[in-house]
Amino acid sequence: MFSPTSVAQAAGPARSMLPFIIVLIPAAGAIAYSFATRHRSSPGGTLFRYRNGSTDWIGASLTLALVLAGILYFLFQKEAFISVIPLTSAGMPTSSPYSIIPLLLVMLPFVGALACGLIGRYSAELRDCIAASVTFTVFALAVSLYPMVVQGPVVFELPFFIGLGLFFRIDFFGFVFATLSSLVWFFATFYSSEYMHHEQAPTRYFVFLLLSLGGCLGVFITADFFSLFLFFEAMTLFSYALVVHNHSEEAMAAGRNYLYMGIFGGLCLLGALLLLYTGTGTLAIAPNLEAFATLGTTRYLVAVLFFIGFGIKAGATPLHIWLPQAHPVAPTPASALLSGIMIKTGAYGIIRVFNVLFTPHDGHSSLWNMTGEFGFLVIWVGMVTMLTAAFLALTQTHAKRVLAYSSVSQMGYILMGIGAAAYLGYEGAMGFAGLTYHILNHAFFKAGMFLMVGAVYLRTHDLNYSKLGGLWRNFPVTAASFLIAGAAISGIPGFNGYASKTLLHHAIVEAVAHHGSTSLMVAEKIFVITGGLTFCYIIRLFSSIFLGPKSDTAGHGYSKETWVEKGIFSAFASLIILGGVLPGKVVERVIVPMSAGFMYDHHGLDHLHELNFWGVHDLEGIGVSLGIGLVAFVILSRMDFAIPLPKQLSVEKLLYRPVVAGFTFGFTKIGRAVETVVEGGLVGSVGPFCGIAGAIGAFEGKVLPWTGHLISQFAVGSRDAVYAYFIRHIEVVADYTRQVELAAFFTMVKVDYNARGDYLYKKLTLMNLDLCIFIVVVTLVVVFSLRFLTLMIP
Amino acid sequence: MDGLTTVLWQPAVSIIVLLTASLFIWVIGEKGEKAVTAISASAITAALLFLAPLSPYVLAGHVQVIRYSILPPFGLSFRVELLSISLALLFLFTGLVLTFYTGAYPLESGKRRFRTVFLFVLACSVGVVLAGDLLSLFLFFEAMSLSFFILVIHNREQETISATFKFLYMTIGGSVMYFIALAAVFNQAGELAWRDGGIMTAGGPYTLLAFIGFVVAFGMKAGMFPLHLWMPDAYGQAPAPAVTLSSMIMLKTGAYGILRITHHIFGIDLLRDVSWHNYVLVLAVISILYGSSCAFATRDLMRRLAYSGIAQLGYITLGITMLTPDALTGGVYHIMAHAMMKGTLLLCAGAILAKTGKRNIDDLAGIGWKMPFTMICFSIAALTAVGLPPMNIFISKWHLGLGALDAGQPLLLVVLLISSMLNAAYYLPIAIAAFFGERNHDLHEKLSWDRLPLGMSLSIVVLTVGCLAFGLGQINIPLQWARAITAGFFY
Repeated sequence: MFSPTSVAQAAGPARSMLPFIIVLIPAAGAIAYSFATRHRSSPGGTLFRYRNGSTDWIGASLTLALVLAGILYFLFQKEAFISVIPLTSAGMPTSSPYSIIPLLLVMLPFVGALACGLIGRYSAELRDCIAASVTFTVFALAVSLYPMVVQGPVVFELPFFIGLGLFFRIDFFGFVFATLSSLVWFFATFYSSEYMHHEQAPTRYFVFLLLSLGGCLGVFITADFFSLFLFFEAMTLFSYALVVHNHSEEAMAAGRNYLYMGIFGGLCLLGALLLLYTGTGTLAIAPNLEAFATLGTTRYLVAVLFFIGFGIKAGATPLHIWLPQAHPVAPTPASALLSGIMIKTGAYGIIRVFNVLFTPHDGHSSLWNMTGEFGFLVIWVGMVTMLTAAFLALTQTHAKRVLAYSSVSQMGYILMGIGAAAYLGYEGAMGFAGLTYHILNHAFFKAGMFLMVGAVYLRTHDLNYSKLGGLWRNFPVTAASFLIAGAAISGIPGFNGYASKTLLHHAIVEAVAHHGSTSLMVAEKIFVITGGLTFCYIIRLFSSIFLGPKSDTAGHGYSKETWVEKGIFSAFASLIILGGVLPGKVVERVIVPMSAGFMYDHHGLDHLHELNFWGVHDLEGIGVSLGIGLVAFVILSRMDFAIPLPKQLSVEKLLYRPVVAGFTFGFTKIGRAVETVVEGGLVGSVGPFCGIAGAIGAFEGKVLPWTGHLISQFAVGSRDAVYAYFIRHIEVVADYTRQVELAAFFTMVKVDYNARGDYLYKKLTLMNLDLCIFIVVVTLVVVFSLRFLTLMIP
Repeated sequence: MDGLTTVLWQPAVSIIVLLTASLFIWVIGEKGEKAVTAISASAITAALLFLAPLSPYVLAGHVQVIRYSILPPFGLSFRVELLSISLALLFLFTGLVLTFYTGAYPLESGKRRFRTVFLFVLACSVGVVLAGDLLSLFLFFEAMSLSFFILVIHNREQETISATFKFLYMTIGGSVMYFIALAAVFNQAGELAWRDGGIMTAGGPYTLLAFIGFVVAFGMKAGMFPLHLWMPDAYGQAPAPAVTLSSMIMLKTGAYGILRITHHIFGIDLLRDVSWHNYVLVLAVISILYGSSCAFATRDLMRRLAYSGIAQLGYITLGITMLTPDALTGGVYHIMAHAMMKGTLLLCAGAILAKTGKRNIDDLAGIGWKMPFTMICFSIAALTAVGLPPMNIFISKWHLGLGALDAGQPLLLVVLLISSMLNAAYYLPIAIAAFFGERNHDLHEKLSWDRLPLGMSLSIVVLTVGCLAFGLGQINIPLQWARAITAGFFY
């Protein structure tokens, strides 16, 4: 993959490749644009559109590149363009080149995601173009690190970030991972621009695709576990949006599992980090078993927490349940990245823990035994993973689910390699070579297979075996490259899977020979059987999709494979064949330099150089494996693949659901119960007071109205009595008045007609006539007023 | 009194300015909404400007006690030091943000009363943290609690009134306990002022009585486990600005009180001897687990936030009572981090409630498409609450975890991790359902505004930025201050 000439150049002072990359952006953008829009508007290609006058977007991408370059220059001045800065400040090893590129690798996708999100609303083409060119630029940036990383790790520091510091450090191991993931990402993004025209919400998809790239690259290029954890969590969160992209019930359920298991894993990692930090005082990714061995039983806790945290992402067996659910429901390019790259972050973490952190500084230390202990357990987790997942892959009938289970199974191989490398300790170079080689290979063939299946899905809109068949005529290039990828995954000689599986097989045989453990003999047999099962499900997958009779629903109107698809698939196929034909070169140029940061014996590494991949034993072993696969296929196809696996034997149903349900039940019910009891207690203590208050209230309620009633009764009665009294007396007065009236009248008559002349009369008439009138008037007034009064009374 | 000879006038003047402004609002209140907002904002800004220049002075480690001979026989005293000033600045800042939110929030009636009392409560809470002895603190503490009930009862519905009475009775019970504790402290120590290393010298029944009294009084305010009962009801019924005021500011005074009595009344040496702090520690752990689980169980948005607040205050109490420097740094930092995080969540929830009238979580599916801005902020705050790096709460959880391991109690680390998991389990579904999955198309809009008023969106943005900025920035000032505060306590 990497030309030997650049190694020779690297002897002198390394030059920055950034200016070249800046120039490459517009080119990449233009190419991406021309491909992205080719099939939509007109079939003419780039030149045709020059005539149509719609070349503005190419110009726009050029401008964008210039603006980007300008921003870079403003931010970092010359440093951005002279990537190797001789470092004189104290506290840093002067041999390490200090470069801004690690930060750029992480920041560029984030900036690109922002640009995509802002522009996606206005122009789909420009958005696709930006996404593709950003991923390409990231790939180019990663490659440009090559002259530096062959000299030593490239470092960059942000020491004050969130108070704990963010440290980047790219050694050759991380460099290969970063290059690999950005390359596959570029392919997938490029493919997405076409794929996503058939899906909803493409802008959100691209934004989160780029964000996930940033998180994923961050994992590979960090110097300490804290920074690694930070990017690991970010990647989990960002890729969640990719998993639930199509909003279906199934996707939401899968996403829920993915997210919560991811967060659970993250918290396990956090716990491990805290324990590690308080125990050893450092979080750096460097051999540190000496400090670690003093921790007592805590070290097992740390190991288990680390393994759970990374193992969830890597799909180690009891923790894998999210994977076969989440990978198939995502849009196909995202599935390819999830399976091809993102699960490798988990493997990467486990490697960094078990093959770096848990190793002593010294090759002949007695502490290697402890590394071996951990390694033994990891081997067995890998074994269980690869076997069960291969079995489950056999029983699936949905192409993407088969591939997802296959990913779990292949991660089992990688875990086994990690375990073998740790188990062999100082002599673990073979296991190391096998696992790294297999990681590279798996990224190529599994990402490729997902994309190929996606191309089929775009036309058929179904991926069940029963609905597919005989498609090789419609998809010749896809079928051919799928055959190559399938051959690689089943380990047929001549394809890259064979080389890595051979190395892994060597490693397990060495482990058996080294410690004479009989249990590992069984492991070796499982390894061979799993190879057979892999072959079996791959035959079934290929034949169900591309061979056999066409199913009734399959029409003939499928559109042809586009150039983008053909190009990407052939690129994957050629990379696979390249890795398979020249395994010696790959080991020499890539695998052996990758072991730079690891503690391995020189002899083991030298032995790798001289390894013959085409030995009779190896070919025989793979032959046995393939034979088992063929026999299994023949038998199982007679049975129509109705393997009597008990349905109840799901880890999810047996283990996770009860635990989560119990947990939830416990928390909610206990919470409710406690609330009731406490509230009851408090309210109960108030009870007596309430009783007294109630009694008082009742007393008030009864007695007061009664009293009031009594008083009002009394008042009414007395008023009535007074009334009656007055009325009675007024009648008497009226009687008197009537009598007085009569008496007065007759008296006057008598006085008037008394001829003799009375004394009174005389007195009245003679002395004062007015007095007489006065008396009459007064009498009348009194009489009439009393009458009036008596009339008033009812 | 080293370093500065003049008596500092700023604390008293700040509080007087705030109180005067609240009186002024009462007088002119019906004139105009904008004038009220302007007056509140300018009063708070003035107080901020008075207090902020003191920060270099207190950062240098200076302490000054200011005593006014009003309120005989003890007098009213203020104490200017880093802890007080930093919390006062935090309260004033969040109060300023909230003022703009309240100005735009559609309260149906009684705006004048609400805003007057709002400013009064803010002034009293600033007084609580600036107070220089137990009695001055008592004064402000009581004024704050008792006037807060006017904010809770604002809606005047049947449930509101019963929730308010629950709050009121518990507050009064708390103040009775505080009074008993005050008497016990005075009986034992003969003084009531803060002193480094504590003023209580020996354990004993009266000291225990004082400890229990303070823990009940402050724990009630901080929503500690058996005393939290007022919180969910009050949160469910009070208007959103009142709830946010309570969550961002009032609850913190309870945590502040526990911190003060731990270090300045009893002293860590005495507490380590008698190990009473362990009871509070256990209660804090129960609060964390219990609050998280209840939040998980309830389907009402506001009540869920209330229970989550119980758990979050549990973190702070945990950090204080672990008695290790790292844990205290985490706890003090969490005061700020929680104010930002929970403020954002509550303001967003208030906006949702005001706009759609829906408070059940099941009804809020797909609300992200109706209110994208609000729900993006809500999601960011929810991720912060889970404690994902590089957000704020991760930093406090990191320090709490380190402190727990320092104290030799790894089980507390497990508690923290379980609680984070539960945080994820009850916050993220809201954020996820807002954007992904089935939508509820029945989210009709109750109010006329189509997008949020400027004041509300502005305050939400400021707090969201607060969630993120300190994590992403190069220099984390709150963390530095928290470390300096811790260094002051663990000299």
